[in-house]
Formats: sequence, C-alpha cells, structure tokens
Amino acid sequence: MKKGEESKFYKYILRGKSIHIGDRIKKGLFKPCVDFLRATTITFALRRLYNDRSIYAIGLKIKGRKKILTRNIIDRFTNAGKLTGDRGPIHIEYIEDPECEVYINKYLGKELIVSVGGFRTIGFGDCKLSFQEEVIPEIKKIILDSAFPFEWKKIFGFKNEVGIVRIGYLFVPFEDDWLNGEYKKSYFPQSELIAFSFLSQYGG
Amino acid sequence: MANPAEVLNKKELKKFYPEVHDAGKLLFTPINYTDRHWRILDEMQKEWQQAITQHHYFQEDDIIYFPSHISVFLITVADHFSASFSRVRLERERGGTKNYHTNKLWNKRAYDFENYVPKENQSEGEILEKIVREKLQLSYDEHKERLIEYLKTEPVNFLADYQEILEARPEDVHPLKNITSLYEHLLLTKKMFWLIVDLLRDEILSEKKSPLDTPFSSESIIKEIDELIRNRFNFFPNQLNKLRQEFYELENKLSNSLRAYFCEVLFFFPHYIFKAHDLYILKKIEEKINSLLYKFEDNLFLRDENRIVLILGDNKIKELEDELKKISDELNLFVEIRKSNGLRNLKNEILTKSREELLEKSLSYLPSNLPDSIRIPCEVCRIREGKEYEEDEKKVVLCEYCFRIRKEGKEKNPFKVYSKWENEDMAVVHFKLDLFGKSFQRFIEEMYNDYVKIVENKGLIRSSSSETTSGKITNFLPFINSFRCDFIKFRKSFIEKLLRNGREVEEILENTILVRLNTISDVINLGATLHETLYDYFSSLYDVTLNYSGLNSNLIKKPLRVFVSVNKAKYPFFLHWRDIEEFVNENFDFLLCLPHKRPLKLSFAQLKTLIEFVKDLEKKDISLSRAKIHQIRQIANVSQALAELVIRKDKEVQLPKMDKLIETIEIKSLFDFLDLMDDYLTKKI
Repeated sequence: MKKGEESKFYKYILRGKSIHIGDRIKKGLFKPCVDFLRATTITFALRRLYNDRSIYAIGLKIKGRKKILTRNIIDRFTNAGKLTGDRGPIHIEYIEDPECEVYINKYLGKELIVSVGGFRTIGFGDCKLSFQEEVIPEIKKIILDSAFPFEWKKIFGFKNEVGIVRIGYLFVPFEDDWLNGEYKKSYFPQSELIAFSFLSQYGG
Repeated sequence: MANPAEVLNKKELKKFYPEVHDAGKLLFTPINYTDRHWRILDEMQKEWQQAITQHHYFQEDDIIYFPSHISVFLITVADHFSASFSRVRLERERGGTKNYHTNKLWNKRAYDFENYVPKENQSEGEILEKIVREKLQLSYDEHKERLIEYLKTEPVNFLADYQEILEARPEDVHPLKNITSLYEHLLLTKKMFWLIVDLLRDEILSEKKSPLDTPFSSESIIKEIDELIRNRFNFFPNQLNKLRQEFYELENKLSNSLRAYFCEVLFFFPHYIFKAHDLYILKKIEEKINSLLYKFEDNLFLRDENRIVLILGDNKIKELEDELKKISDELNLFVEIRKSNGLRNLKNEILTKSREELLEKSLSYLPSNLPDSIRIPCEVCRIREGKEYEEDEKKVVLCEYCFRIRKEGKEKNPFKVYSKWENEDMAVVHFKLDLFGKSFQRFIEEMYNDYVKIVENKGLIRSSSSETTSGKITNFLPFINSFRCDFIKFRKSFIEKLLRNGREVEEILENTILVRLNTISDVINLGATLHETLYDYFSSLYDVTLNYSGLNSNLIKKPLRVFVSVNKAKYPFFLHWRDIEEFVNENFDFLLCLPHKRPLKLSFAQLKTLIEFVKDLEKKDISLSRAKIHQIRQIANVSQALAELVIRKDKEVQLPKMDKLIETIEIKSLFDFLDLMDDYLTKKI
C-alpha cells in the first residue's frame, strides 16, 4: 500500500429486514440483542463472503425497533414443541428494519449483500451494504460507539486511552479454524480513546 | 500557639457542634427591634454555646460576641459558605411580609402564603408560637425553657431531636427567600465545617507544598487567625469595624488557600445479573461504598445509585484512589473516576460551574490481571475464565469471583421476596435522580422564577405595578440535599402504600424496587399509586410542562424521573436495566417498558391525564367502556389513521375526556396504552 492509503476507509450504510447481534454466550432461553455492530461480527461476515482475511470493518449504533420472536424447538421424537427445560421455547430479541453506519478498510463495490449476526438459518441477518463515501479519518479523542479487539488497535488508528475504558471480550475465530476460536480482550462502547474519528457516532 | 495540626484536632472540634449554631432561630429574641437569634443564651462557657453566641459578630458591638476560638471562626466561615450571603440574591430588595413556612420549589401544591404570615396586629413571635404548638405540642414558654435547658448540656442529637421544627422553619423568612429550611442550612453548615477542617488538615499534613500562585499557606493562616483571636481585646470599641474587617479578610484568605478536588466515582459492574442471588453483588457494592464513606465521611458531597461525589485535598485523593483500586480487585468491578483539577476558591467554583465543567479528568480502575484471551467466559461477569459447576441440576460456567458471590447470595438470600417469584409478572421501578449538574440548576431557577411571579401576583411584596422583581439563586447546595431527603420520604411513603394494598415489594437499591403484579395490566394500579404519591411530594414536576416530543437538549430534564420495566420474574434481570439505560438520555419523565410493546414515554402531566382517564372510566359502566376501547383497538389493528379519526370525530365511540387524552399524548403511544387498558378493564369485569 502507498503511504496514506492504509488509513483510508469506506463508509457504507447497512440496511436489512431484521438482524440479531447476540449478547449472550451459548445456552439460555432468552437471546438478547445488542444495539451496536461490533467489529468482529461484521468483519468475519465480510471475510466469509469474500474469503479475504485482510478485510476489517466496524459498525456503529444500529437504529431500528427491538422486537422479540418466540421460537419453539420441535422435539424430533414427539414432533411437538418443547415447552419446558433447557431447550425451548426460546425468545430471540432482534432489531427490525436495522440501519447502521459501517466502515470497511477496503472498497467492496457499490452495493453488496451480506449475512450478519446470529440465527441466519431462520431468516435473520440478510443485509445490504450501500457505499456512501471514501473516508480519510482523523485521529482524535472519541467516545467509542462500538467494540473492537485490542489486537486490532492499529487498524482503527488507536493511539491511547485517555479516560474511562470499558473492557469486554469478543469472539475471534482461529486463523485456520473458523468454527473455533477464543474470546479476546476488547474495547467496548463508552471507552474514551484517541483513535479514528468515525468510531464515534458524532465524530469525536 | 500549639501546632496548627493539633489545633484542628477532630475530637476537640466536635464539642463545638457546628450544626447547633443557629438554634436561636427556634426562638424569637427581639433586641432593639431586631431578632437577634444568637443572643438566646446568658452563658457561653461551653464550646457550642460560644458557637451560638459568637458566630454573628458582624452585627455586634461588643467584643465578647466575637469568635473566641478558631473553631467558632471556622463555623462562621462554614455558615457563610452554606448561606453564601443569602442563597437568593434579589436585584432589588423588596419589603413585604415575612413567611415562616418553608415553600419547597418542587412542591408547588404545598406552598403556603397565609397560615404562617403575621397578619395585622400579629407579631412574628406569635407565628413562631404557632409552629411550636403544631410541631412540638408545647406552648412557646415551655419550648423556650426546654431549649435553653437543652443547650446547657452537650447537644449530641440536636438535628434529630428538633428535626421536625427545623424543617418547618425557613432559614430566611424574608419574602422570596423562604425556600430552604433551617434544617438544611444547619446540615450544610456542619458538612462545610468538617470539610474545611479536613482540607486544612490535609494541606498542613501534605508533603506537597502549595503552588506559588498562592502567597500564603493554610498553616500560616491558622496562625494569623489564632493571633487575631488572642489579640481581639486590644481593639478599642470604636475600632470594631477594623476588627470585623480583619476577620473578614482572613475568611477570604482561608477560602482561597484551600485546594480541593471534586471527584465523582462510579461503580460500574459488567455483571449480567440473571437471578435474585446474582443481585447480591449490589449488596456487596453497597457495603464497600458504606465502608469507604466511613473513611471519607467529611468529604461526601452527594451520593446516589452507584455513584458518589466527594471533595478532597491532595493527600486524601491518593488515599481514595488506593481504596478504589482495592475495591475493583476484590469485587471484580470497573471503578470510574472523574475529577476536577485542584480548585482554589472552592465556594466560587461549586456555585458557578456545572458538573461537566468541573470534572475535566477521567480514568478507570480495572480489576487486576484481566487475561488477554479467554476460552470460556464466565456467564455472569464475562471478563474472567469460567469453570463448569453444577447448579440446580444444570451446568453453569462461572469464574471464582462470581461463584463466590452467587454462593454467598444463596446463603444469605438478601432478596427473599424476589427469590420466590418465578412465573409471576413483575415491575422494576427505577427512580433516576439527577441533582448534580446544569439540569437541576435550571429546574430550580425555572421554579424560582415561577415562585417570584406567584408572590408578586398575591401582592405579598411591596412593589409598584411597573416594577418586577427578579431574583437569582446563588447557592444550589441546600436544594440538593433537601430534594434528596424528600425523595427518601416519597419512596418510603410509596412503598408503605404498596404494602398496605397487599402488594409484595422487594427493595433492591435505594433507587430500585421490585413490585409483583397480578397481571401485566396491573401496572396501571401501580402507576396510580406512584402518581398519587409523587404528586404529594413533587407536584412541581407536573407543573413544568414538557410534553414528550423526542430528544431535545433544550428542554429541562426533571431532577427525578421514573422508569418502569415490566416482565415475568424469570426474565433475566439485566435486561430490565438495559431497557431502562437505553432511554436514559432522552427527555421524558416517565417510561413504561412492556413486553412486545413499544416503550411508553410520557411527561408526569401526561401520566396524570392517563390515570385520571382510567379512574373516570372505572367509576362509570366498565363493560361499556371496555367495549368502546376494544372497538377502537380493533379498528387500529387495521388502520391507525382510521382509528385516530374515529377517536376524534365519532361521538358514539368516544369516551369522556378522550379528546383531552389525544391532545396530550402521541397517538401511537395512546394505542399502546389502550391495549393495556383493554386488558385491565377486562380483568375488572
């Protein structure tokens, strides 16, 4: 890459019918949904699509209406719904008509369809990304509106922590085994950082 | 002079009881046509008696009434800080009738402009007699005798013993100034006194030297004060103004020499609280905060929810930060600090700057040894490696911290009532207090402007028709504590009403209670009880009419807001909080989150309209009302626009006062509310 190109990002708007970005590790009958598009979710969705491990992306706050879908797991022996116990019915929280700003480090075309988040097999997650503009971000003090792993600091222009930090862990698949991975230490929303301006909804 | 640090010995200073200095205001002591409340005692041998008699030396012509001990001088400084030369400054002082009733700006309904105002041929003393009779059930003479006798011995519990009458009597009875009580003033003076002492000690004991921008150190000022006190009898009677001036200059020097930091501490836990025993973490946090505040008692400015605000000197900041780091590690918490730079002229800084302007720096304390990666996160905190455990015949994954908290939570079971609920419907009622910042200041100013107009319209101040009075609140500090005290009373009354109505209630935190509901629509009854109690204590919150119209930063956010989230008891608890937090920055007074519905966002005035609408319907033919509401709902399911038209135009379908309801509430919210009402009325039939 030429000098200056590595900090170029491409702004897209993500829109869809319904999306579920899970807030809870496996198990449990209630599946809450977060309202921001964390870097790992969108990045690995795009990498799956393009089979390109050099793609990095992050989304901000997801606008839309939160709703709950109750889904009954069918017992294969009785062919009836499971009403009790660990397995059902489950309540899936999702966002209807989601809309979200997404920043990607590569130009992926004017429009693309990508499947994002959880419960994709039952219809959630199909979204369209529409290109808006090229962005050469400034590095400034921001209040983070999304989440990204520590390992990806440089990608997002991170320089320093300058106040309150909120830490959590995000799932990052192994390089050679995308079905398995580890939870990596990450910055979460409300962290005060010096990093790229687009990481904050209001530009820092 | 003894070592300045020894002079400020806490044990010795305690005997001066700064909170007693204005005890004389409970009597009427006219001398030369002026009530001289500091002259109630004939003796001043005891320390607190000196505090009472010598703190008002500005109006005295005899040196014996000037401070005879450094403690008395500091009480005077604290008194002035607390009152800030009147917490209301009027552009022009207006004569008018004094009022011996404390009119609290947030409770307009309770304003009283008649019963405690001296009528023609009635003296102020008679009004005070009336208050004494009402609050203490004594005659004035009996009361006077008892008070004088009381002040002969150490007044250890003065504020508690005389609380009722101190709260009733305003600190300043002049027109337009009777808006804070004497109780609040004494409490604040006590707080300010110990804070000043703490800052002085800190400055003297600190290893850091004062920066060059101040020409004097606290230690030297203490010596100067001491010297002036010792030499006061060297001043002739005609030099008393000079003596007063010297004391006054020392007071200013002292105020400017103290360097203090404002510090806001937030205890943030990443824990995903699912069940009653997980809530035990809140008890642990509360315990830790209480033990922290035991060490920093003199520095506490404000406490609410999981936040404390402190004013501290250099040494104590370091001590605080060490304690917070320990708490973070012990409880696996994030502790966030926002602090100011070192402030001189503390009085000015507190009174003129908002929270946002004061707190410039921030940092977090994170639990130690957070790993870079985790294979299996703990289900609850999600920041530590978890291990599998068996619990209630299920497998759970918990880290050692959360396992310990859960285990202790189960053993101690502090939330016995909540832990019994399973499939029952439950409401989480959360009270959001916002007393530290511009929002509260603006609310108080707005209510004060309204108060001035009321007083003028009633003709209670002397002014010609062409003159208007405007006053400026100069000190918000007494309002903060007073509002909070009233909130505690309101909360207590609200819970008592719920219990009297046979409800099951669990108090999780000071600001959060859980109420079991019979059905989801039963939340209407809960809302009615809430409104009834809120209106008794905070009627002004209804009066400042701000119809919810979305996020608007120019509107005044109310200092108290109520958030209610309803769901089954087994619904993961953290989701209630998350639902509430999502809307915390929007500007409305009352939020109701119901399952599968859009949240209902209202002003208190709108809430009142809704409750009155429901109660009106209940008095009439419920079946008919329910049928009409059901009809509108069915129409709305097909077309909301048509339903709106029907509500506005069709007299057959319209219910009484429905037109008023439409004017006050957004139509979409109204339909959501009608869903609830339909269910509520169905259950009533």
